[in-house]
Amino acid sequence: MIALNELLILSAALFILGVVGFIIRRNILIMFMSIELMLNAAGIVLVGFSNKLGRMDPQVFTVFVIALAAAEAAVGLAIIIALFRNRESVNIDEMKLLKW
Amino acid sequence: MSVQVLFYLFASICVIAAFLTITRKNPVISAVWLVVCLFCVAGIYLLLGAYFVAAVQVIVYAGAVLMLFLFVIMMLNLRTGIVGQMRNLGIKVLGIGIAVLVFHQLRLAFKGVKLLTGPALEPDFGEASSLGKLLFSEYVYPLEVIAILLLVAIVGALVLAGKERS
Repeated sequence: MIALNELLILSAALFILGVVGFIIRRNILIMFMSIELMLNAAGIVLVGFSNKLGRMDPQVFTVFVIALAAAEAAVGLAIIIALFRNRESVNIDEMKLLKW
Repeated sequence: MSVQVLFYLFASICVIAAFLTITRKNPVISAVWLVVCLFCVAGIYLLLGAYFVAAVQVIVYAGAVLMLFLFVIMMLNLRTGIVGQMRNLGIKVLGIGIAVLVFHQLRLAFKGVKLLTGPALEPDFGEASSLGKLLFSEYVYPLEVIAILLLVAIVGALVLAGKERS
């Protein structure tokens, strides 16, 4: 039997790796992968509680989260392609047109 | 107990792969480590009895989304000069500081979590049939919303990345 604490700590570790990756990298593709890591951390918590409470509802939400991640990846990567066409770069430090 | 051992194995591989994902310079290698991480998350879902979700994780995440990532990385044709570099040291220290702070807070929060021992799992727990029944009865409106969202995402991706109108 997997203890709930261990699951929560695993998901916290994954979430934090996602946050750190999002902050310290300047490559927009890797920032995107960090977002996927954070979504997976949420999924682990949902499925863990689904197991502990014996209910199926959280798994439905996990499926929704996966669908959402797919949609997000499609649109986000399209934005990255459009940006790369205009700027020839994936470095977010060079995309500061809206920064005053 | 073997479930415990497998859980520790998957969890440690998962965290290590996530760490390598965010530290590698080359995005292709990052993406491959992300696949490893997602597979381990699918293994943890299996250990928790969520069989259908584990299958969806492998098919949609490790299959479709990561393939999309790799395609885009190869399409962009990054030269070595623009692949690399972390941000400067200040941002790095800030990131690690935030990480330590948030992890500490989460650990404090989890101390209060009681060890739940819920009811015994039903025999069809985690299978596609019980999930489908729930999906098409209680959660049918969210399902429709997700369907529309996916349609919007397809159209949006085509509009954004399609041919340039000059």
